[in-house]
Amino acid sequence: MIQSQEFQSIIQAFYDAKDEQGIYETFDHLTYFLGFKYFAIGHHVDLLNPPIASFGISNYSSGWLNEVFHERYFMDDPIHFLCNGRHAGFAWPESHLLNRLNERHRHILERGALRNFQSGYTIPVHLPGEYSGSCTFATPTSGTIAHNVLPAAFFAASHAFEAIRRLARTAAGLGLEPPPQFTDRQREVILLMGQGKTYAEMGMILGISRETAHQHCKLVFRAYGNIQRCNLIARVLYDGIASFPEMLRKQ
Amino acid sequence: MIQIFEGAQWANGLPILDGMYRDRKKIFVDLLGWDVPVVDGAYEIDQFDDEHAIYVVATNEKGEHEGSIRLLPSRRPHVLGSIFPELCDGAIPVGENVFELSRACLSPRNRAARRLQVRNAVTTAVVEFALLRGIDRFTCIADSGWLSQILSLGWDCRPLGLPRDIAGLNTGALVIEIDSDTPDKLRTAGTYVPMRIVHAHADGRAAA
Repeated sequence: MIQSQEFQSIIQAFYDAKDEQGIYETFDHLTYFLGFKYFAIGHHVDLLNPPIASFGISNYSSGWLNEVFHERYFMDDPIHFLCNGRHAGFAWPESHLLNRLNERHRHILERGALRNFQSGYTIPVHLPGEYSGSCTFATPTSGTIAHNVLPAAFFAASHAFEAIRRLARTAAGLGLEPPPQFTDRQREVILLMGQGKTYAEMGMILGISRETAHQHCKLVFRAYGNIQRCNLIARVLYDGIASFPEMLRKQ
Repeated sequence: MIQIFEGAQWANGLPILDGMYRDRKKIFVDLLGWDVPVVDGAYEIDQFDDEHAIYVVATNEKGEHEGSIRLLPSRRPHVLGSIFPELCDGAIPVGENVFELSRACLSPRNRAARRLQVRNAVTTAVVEFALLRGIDRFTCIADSGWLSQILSLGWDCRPLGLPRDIAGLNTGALVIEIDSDTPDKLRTAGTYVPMRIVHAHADGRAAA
């Protein structure tokens, strides 16, 4: 049974950490405390071109990290793939999860097993309007995860993610702009753009002139810093201003 | 707009609170499948929704419920103290200046971007209300579906004990410390929303 006091002091240590070194040491302690050997925490982004305020920290061996970078495994990470659409943590490998993986995913998982990542527990982190991320704890032996530590692992990892996120945001000068706000009419033209309508078609649908429809769209582009139309669609979906069902429904 | 209601009322009560209980039923019973009481088949109202409960409620321009949260005084029965005391490994925080946050609810009618704005507005109102009333600690129970969002609001949030598996979800008790620096912490996190808070109870009592 793990100790509540130690659990609480580890979480405090994450918030007290001043830099990546402090986070790393606390994570090492947490990983051992939970009975695992390896940890990795970070955003699911292109590791060769990480975006601003994203982060990634792990105690993986340099041999495995070299292989991950050289073979670009991070673009098809099977564990990151399994995080999609779920908030709950998951232990792996479990057959009902593995069924969802493709050939390339399975290959990466097998390579990891050869490098001593036999089993683990992963906590997804999805924050609205931000890149998805996760925290993984792994062991070099299969079938040795103590399931009674998993709630503590989930909570500790979530606190750790938040503590690192605050450090990264501060280091990036809080570079995360809130998304622009739109009027009802502007949202209507956004949805119509997503449906591939021309300005003339928008005007007909909304009962306004082509020119007025164009003006509404111009204000939308300007709100996103004169964004291109295709890029706008990606941004409004990402920012939650419009949803796929709204964009894809038939007019 | 954000309104504060002190004391529960339903059926012939206030349309805003009725809308809140209806949305709570949609979220906690219909969507999340919680085993909590439902009144008249439409309202999620439990034993803690009494005259001591305080509600911070966001409404749209039509006066419809957009999001809300319930504050319960820790000196009276509350969720952590009465139902899940095992989530707290030390003494359960109790005191005049300690309240529990529960039933955080965002209207399912809003889309993601608006829900985020309402979430931030309700959080800001909770912090401002606490500073106004001298509340310095909130307790709350978080499960894996909400934990990251609660932490990302920017306030100081720490565990009260080891989390447990409850009904298949990792669940734990948290304490949130509130002081005069808390609004700045929300600003740093990008979650502070400048606003005017209306105390809805004052009108109600004057009329009664």
